[in-house]
Amino acid sequence: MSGSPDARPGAGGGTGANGRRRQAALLRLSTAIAAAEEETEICHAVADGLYDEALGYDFAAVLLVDGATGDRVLVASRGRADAPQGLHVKPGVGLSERPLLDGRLHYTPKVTQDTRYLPTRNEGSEVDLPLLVNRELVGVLVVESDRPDAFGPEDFEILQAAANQTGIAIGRARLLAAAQRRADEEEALRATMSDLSSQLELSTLLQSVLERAVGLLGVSHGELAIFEPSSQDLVVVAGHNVGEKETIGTRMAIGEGAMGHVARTHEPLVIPNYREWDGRSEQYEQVEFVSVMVAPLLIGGRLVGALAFMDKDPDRVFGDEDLRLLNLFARHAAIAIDNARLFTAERRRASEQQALLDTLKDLSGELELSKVLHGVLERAVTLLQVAGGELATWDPVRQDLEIVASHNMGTNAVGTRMALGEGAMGRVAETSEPLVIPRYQEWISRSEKYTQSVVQTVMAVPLLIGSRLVGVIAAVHSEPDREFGEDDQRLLELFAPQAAIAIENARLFTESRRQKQYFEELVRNSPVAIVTLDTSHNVVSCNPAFEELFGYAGDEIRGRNLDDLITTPETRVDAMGYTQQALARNSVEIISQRRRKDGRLLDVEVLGVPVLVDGKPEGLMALYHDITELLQAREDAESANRAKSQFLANMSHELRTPLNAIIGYSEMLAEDLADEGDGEHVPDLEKIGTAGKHLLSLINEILDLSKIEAGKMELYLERFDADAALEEVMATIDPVASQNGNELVLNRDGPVGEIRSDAVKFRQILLNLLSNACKFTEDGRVTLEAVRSTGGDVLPDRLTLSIRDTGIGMNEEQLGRLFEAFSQADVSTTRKFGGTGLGLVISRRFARMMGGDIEVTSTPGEGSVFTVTLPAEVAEQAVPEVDAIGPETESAELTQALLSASGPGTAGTILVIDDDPGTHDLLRRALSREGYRVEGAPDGESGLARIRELRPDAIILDVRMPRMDGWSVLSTLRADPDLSTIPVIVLSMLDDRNVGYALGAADYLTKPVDARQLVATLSRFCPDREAPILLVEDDSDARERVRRVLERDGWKVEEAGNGREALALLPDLQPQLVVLDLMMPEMDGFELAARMKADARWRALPVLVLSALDLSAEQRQRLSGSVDVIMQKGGSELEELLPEIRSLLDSARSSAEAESTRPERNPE
Amino acid sequence: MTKILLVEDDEMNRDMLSRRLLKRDYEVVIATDGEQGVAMAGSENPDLILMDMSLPGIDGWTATRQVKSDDATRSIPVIALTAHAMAGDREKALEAGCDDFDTKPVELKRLLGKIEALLGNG
Repeated sequence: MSGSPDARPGAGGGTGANGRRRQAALLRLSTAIAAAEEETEICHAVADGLYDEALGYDFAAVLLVDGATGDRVLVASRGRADAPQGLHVKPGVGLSERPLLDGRLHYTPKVTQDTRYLPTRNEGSEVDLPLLVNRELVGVLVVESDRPDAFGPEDFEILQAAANQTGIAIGRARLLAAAQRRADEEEALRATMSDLSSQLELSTLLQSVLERAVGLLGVSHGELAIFEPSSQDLVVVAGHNVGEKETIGTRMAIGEGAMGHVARTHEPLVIPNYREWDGRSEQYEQVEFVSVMVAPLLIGGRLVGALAFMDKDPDRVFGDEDLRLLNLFARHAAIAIDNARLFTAERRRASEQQALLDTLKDLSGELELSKVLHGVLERAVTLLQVAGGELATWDPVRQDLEIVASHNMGTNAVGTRMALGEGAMGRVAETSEPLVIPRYQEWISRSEKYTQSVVQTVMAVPLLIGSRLVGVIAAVHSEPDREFGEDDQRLLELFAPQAAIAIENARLFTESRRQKQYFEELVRNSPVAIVTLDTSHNVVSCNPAFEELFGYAGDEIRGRNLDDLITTPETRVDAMGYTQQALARNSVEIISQRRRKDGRLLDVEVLGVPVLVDGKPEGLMALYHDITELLQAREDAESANRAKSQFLANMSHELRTPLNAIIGYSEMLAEDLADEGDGEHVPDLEKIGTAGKHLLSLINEILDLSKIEAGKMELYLERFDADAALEEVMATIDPVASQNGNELVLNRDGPVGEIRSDAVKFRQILLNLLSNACKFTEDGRVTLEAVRSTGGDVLPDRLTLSIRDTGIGMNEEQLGRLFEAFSQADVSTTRKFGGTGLGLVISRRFARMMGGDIEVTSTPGEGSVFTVTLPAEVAEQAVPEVDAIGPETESAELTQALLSASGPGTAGTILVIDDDPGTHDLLRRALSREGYRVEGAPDGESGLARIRELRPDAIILDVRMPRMDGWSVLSTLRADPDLSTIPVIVLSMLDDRNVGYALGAADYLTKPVDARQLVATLSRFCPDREAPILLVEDDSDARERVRRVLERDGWKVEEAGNGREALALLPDLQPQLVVLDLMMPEMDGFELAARMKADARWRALPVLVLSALDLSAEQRQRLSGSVDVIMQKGGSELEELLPEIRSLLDSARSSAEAESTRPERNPE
Repeated sequence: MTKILLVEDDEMNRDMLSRRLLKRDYEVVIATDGEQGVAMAGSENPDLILMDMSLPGIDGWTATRQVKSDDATRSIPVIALTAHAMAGDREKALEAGCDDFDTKPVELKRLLGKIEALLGNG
């Protein structure tokens, strides 16, 4: 029932003094409202102010609406003693509800019982006004009078104004309060943040976050739980005043209890009466609190935990504001938890790395394998915080695992072996994959050997290097609840490669130490004396054999210079040289003398090799072989041989003398008897004479052969008329021939002429062969054919003498045995034909000594042909066939070998530089046979001098020489532009080819030298000095200059003044190369070149153009194809001329060779 | 009659050669060593000397040199007789001044030929 605002004079109306008192009261009201800061205070001020006597109201009250329930709550009142503060007036009750419904002032002029909310009042009038804060209805202002109809329009104005003011004031107060609260929140948050930054120990942090929240919310209880992903449980980590029961550590499954619920729903939840909530967890049966507000902690949708606030006050109703705060804290707590987790994870990683570093530091210095293994295992166990662990290594030979380290495992399983696939470690070894077994005791593949009953959980990880298994490491736990999470696995996996490497290193070290010991044992036990030196030639170590050989104890010579200790004054310098040479990467092999500690001299064979580490010489190893006895034996053998030869030589005289008598006297007697006419006894005497002569020839042959074998047979060379010698031989053989009825014929294709040879041997060979022919032919013919063949310009003349018979001939087998000493074709032959069987052997030896040979062909029943080939000019000092290169010998022999002149030398001049006379002999023989002139030098220095004098076509250089070795000679040569064009062939016993080539050797041959190979090599390098170089140049001065250069280098030079002249000269001269000027009268170089190209005879002739012209591209084009090299005059062309010529000739020769060796093509 | 001086230390050789020479109507005088040979070359004034090279005392080469360096005996032709058929010996002999040489055991026909050759020229 609403009243109308009639203008009736009510209590408090009118003007004048009343009016002024009213005004004052209103002013006081305003002031009081303005002064009040806090909401309740404002309400009280309003109620008090309106109750002012001046205004005449009997009751004023402020009721504010409770947002949650919709009740009107009596916040402040004045005028009735029975109006209790905090009284809730339910909706639907009381007049004061009406403004709330329509937002307007309501006047009830007459109140009745029904409409009252306070039972004691029964009449009066009432005004109810809405209180608006920012147009929001927040409450009601109730003003009552005991008299009905007590309010008029003036009152309505006043009260409306008061209500407005109140609304404004309350609005302001609420803002203030909100601001304050925000400030408080921020403060709390800031404190939380500072907690975060200062306190990363998660549980402490969470506890303080919780406490702040509890404080801010004004609740009695709070709990915070973290979500554990591994177990999928919520674990309470912070709690505030949850009661007697300590809930920290309580686990709840998702869905269990309030926190479990929000963990599942991801939504906050308010439970007004927890005790009646059916989702209640058993763990939370007995609790003090009633109302619960719980929210999940989420980071980006991911559950991190749950936060719950509870209050024991049943009336504590959690409103929106609380929820807002809850969510705020939830967010921050979630972040805090995540950050702290991250940090923990970081810190954990950091401590992992640190642990690893420590492990590595420990282990890197440790090469003792078992220490490494134990170290690794202990570290792993500590870091993982497990109960214990085991480490097994993989044995690739036996293909199983052996437990090598054990930590805290109860029984020590070290030594146990497990097969592939057996047990946890065996399985891991098989798969090379890590393995976690949560409940080991129940695992079916558990090994029987694993008697460790304490083991509950096992994590095993393979130790791999690359993909190769080195071992397995296993960590175990005895607590049933301890599980191996990702972190543990990851940690162990981080360890595993490091452990594998550490183990492998230790293993390698052990292995290399073993090998070192093995090698040291070898050296120690070797019967060969071995000593190692450093780069200063000081002794590093020596073996017992060395100590014994030289009489020094290892300790006393360590650090001392070896050459000082064991060389003699004579050998000292050379020895030092050899040591140096060996250190320079060349190994050295010599025979020399050394001295023992007691002064006794030893003959030793020394082998020195450098010790290279990473290609650099770090020292030298020398092996000594005592050859004193060997040398003595050789000496003995040689002196025995000499004695034998001497004996034979002596015997020769002794043997011949009686024979002389036998032969002489029997002859004499025969003569005498013949003269006296007593022919009867003559045959007998002749038999004696014949027998004696036969015996004499036997003795001679034996002596000859022994001389040859002793190497004492010499050649005595002289020039003589070969034709006369042949005729004389024929005359001598004639009687022998007629004896068997044989015809003897000498065939010559013209005179043989003069030869230089050993006349006696020449005769002996022929006599031997002819008499054999006569002996084995009856009534037949024996022909001696003599032919002299010229070898042209290059090769020397040769003599070919063939002795042909029509005798009994020989079969293959007989031919094979022909030249064996003392084996005639067969025994019956001896009986029938006589002879010693030595003649052929000796003849062939003689022939070979002279640089020739004897060959035979035969047809049984038809006859034989023996062919002797000999050089027409036998080379001086041909030595018996000894190819081996001996050790260092006296220089006298060497000088001897070198002093003698050499062969004819049409093929070229060769200088041999070698300290070994044997090499000189061998090379001289081999090469002069081929027509080379061979000169020699015994060492590097004299060699170099000789090169300058001689300007040889090629140099054969031995590497191993004392004082200045071959390499030094080579480098000196190469450095001298004058000499560097001379090709050098290096000879050595070693194969150091690359060094040779690198130093500029043209070719490299190893000793013993294959003469054929040498000759082939030389022919590549030795130019043809016979065929001239044709120089075509019109300017005579220029011609002169070039001629001089060429001739000085040993070339024959012919000249032509222009192209036409040159063309005319070509057929006769047959030059091997043309040096061509371009600008010439009559026919210029261009035309000559073209003409030569067009002529098949000269097409292949190499042409070198030497012209002052600066050629244009067109001109070059003209010349290309007909000219090989173009050189510009006016520069340094003369220096470059010689090498160019040589290389041109070289390539011309190689292509010519290639042409000639190309197989014939079948015509298609 | 042509007188030949035979210088030879070996008795049998001496015997054989001298007898055979005597049979061919040569007069033969004998020296048994080099010194005697040189002396007799001077005293006997032979038409030819056959000189064995291997003599005791001074050897055949030395003896020949001595003979050839003495004006009185220089012109006497000397044939060296050597047991070794070595060309080295031959050279040596020729160098020492021998006019020819022959080898032992003596082949009489050959030696006679050489003697006659030298006597024919001398």
